[in-house]
Amino acid sequence: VSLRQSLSSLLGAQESAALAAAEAEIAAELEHHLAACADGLEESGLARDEAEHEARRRFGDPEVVRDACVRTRMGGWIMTKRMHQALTAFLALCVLVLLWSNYASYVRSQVALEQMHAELAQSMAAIQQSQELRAALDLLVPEDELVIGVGDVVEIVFEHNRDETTIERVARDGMILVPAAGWVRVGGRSRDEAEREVNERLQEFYADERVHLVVDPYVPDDGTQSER
Amino acid sequence: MSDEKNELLKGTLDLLILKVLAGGAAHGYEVVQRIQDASDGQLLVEEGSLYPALHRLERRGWLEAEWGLSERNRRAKFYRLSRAGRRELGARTKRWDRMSSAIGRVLRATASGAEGGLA
Repeated sequence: VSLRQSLSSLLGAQESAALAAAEAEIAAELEHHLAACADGLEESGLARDEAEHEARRRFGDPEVVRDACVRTRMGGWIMTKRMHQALTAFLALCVLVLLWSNYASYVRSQVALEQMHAELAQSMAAIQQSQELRAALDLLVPEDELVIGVGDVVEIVFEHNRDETTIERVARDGMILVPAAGWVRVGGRSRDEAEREVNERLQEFYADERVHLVVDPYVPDDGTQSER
Repeated sequence: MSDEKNELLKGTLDLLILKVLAGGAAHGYEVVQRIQDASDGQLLVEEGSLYPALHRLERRGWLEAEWGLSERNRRAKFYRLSRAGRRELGARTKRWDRMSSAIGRVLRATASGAEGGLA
């Protein structure tokens, strides 16, 4: 493998030209050496052909000497070139590592962002749910303000005679049927008023008995409360 | 015999080249001739070592070179000692003198010891 072949991977056009020029100059120098040596041998009595042959025999392989000279002459340049290549490779590696690091960081931030989006969506859903719940609660009227209307279900709970406890739906005329007391008008009254009325009516039959009313307002299918 | 000559030249070729070129510019073949003449043919310079050495010394700035015509009217590359090369020659010559002197003393002392031992 010649020096030129071994350096081919390192050489650009300009460097190839410099190498070729160096090789040509060294070859010319060595040719002169062989000719001068042959001159000397010729002077000592050898025929020209023999002198040239002997000069070449003594010199050895001119290409080996030429390559050694080229290496010497271009050694610094070759070293610089190799260092340049090594540095370039190192910098390229650094850039790759940096890019990879940035990409990994980007991927991590994307994952974190997606998680945040998911959490945000959950929070939004929770807020929505809470708002709906709040709206539903707003529709509720406190029990003491509740006015009993047609269709409401009233549970008549007896304090002592638990067996008498019953559930009645308010009729169209606002009446409910209370055990023993008979029909009592509760429609249009608040729970407390209705409870007082029922207890007054019961006093006629049970001196010591007392009832509590639990009202379950009528809710139509569309979820709104009926007009009272 | 030739091996002994080559061994003698190891490490000293640069010094010998600088020294012979101190006597004036010369092309490569002349350098070989001057060394052989000055050593009465005892030192054989191999061309395979000479030319890389010439180029190395030129690269270091101790030699200057230019192309010219030889006595036979052939184009030849002539080397001459630069100013830096002259300083280098002086430094190397002193170092060589110290070294050869020291080696000489060791050899003489060893020889005396051997003779003393035999006696």
